[in-house]
Amino acid sequence: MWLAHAQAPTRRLTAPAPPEDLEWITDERAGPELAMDAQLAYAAMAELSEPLRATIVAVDVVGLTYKEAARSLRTRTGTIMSRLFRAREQVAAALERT
Amino acid sequence: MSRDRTPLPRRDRALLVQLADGTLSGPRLERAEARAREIPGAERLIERQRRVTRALGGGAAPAPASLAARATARRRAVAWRAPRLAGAGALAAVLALVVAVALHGGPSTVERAADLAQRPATRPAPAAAGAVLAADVDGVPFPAWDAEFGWRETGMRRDVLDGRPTETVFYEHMGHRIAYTIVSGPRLPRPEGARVVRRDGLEIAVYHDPRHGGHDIAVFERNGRTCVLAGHVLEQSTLLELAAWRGGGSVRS
Repeated sequence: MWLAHAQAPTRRLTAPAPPEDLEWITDERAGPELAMDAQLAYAAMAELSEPLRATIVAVDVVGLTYKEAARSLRTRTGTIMSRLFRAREQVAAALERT
Repeated sequence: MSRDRTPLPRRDRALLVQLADGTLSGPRLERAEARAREIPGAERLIERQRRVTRALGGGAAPAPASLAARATARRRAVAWRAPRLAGAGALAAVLALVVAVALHGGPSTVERAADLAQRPATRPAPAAAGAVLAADVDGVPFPAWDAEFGWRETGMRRDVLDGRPTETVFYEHMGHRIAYTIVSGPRLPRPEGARVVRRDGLEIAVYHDPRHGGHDIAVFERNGRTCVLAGHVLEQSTLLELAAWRGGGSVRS
């Protein structure tokens, strides 16, 4: 059956599993905490150095894989992962300050 | 912005990123987890990484369809032209997207429904009863695709998006998963920037979301209710075929 063709996911980010006993799950994105986090995260990204900002945008906003981001930004995959860690750390620090 | 003073070696930084993103599996994952246990505060560092990905949309807020379409086009263009692009050009291409993200409003209900495909099932799959499953939203049943296409129902979940109850059934075939969500209430506007095609008389809006390794989304209407089909497939036509299937009339149009 041709419908069997499927593409293997190259990168999957998973959300934490909700409590099993909840009958109806209110979408947590509607909550003010995540909305505030998003706003602060974007503000913090503006303060990053250009290589870090480009990396976190490529991976966490655009959704490129590490390899694709490396090719687009003309660097190595290891450099992308290292920069990504540093970029997220700086953004996380900004989130924790508030 | 304070400078990053993390004393972690570059290799460990890369490892923690991969653990936070869940991109490792098998022996590599086992080795990474073993190494992470030796890194002081690794668990907290991983959670900090995940908090940022959640805030920026990884597994949380989906990119709007119009942005996703532009991101896909840009992604292909950047990848294709990468050898000839100056570094600044590639950077500008990516940075242009963050401006679009920052300026764009929140995702629509349809786009958020599509993102439910990334969530886990919270209930067992409903039983099949002929060409449909024993579950429906406002009288619109979920299709039973196993016999016809080999996509077997594996679980479901219920959510409320913008005050609208939704039900999502997950289907799997050869280790791959797609999600079928039906949104209660009047029809929702089509996602901005989506391509509209007609298949077997059914109008289907399709677009590609580049996040999560890339997944395709089909939005259509059954008996006045909005249905969203999302998942990793090789061709969008797979989703179109599934969306348009009527099960001999059992799936109401």
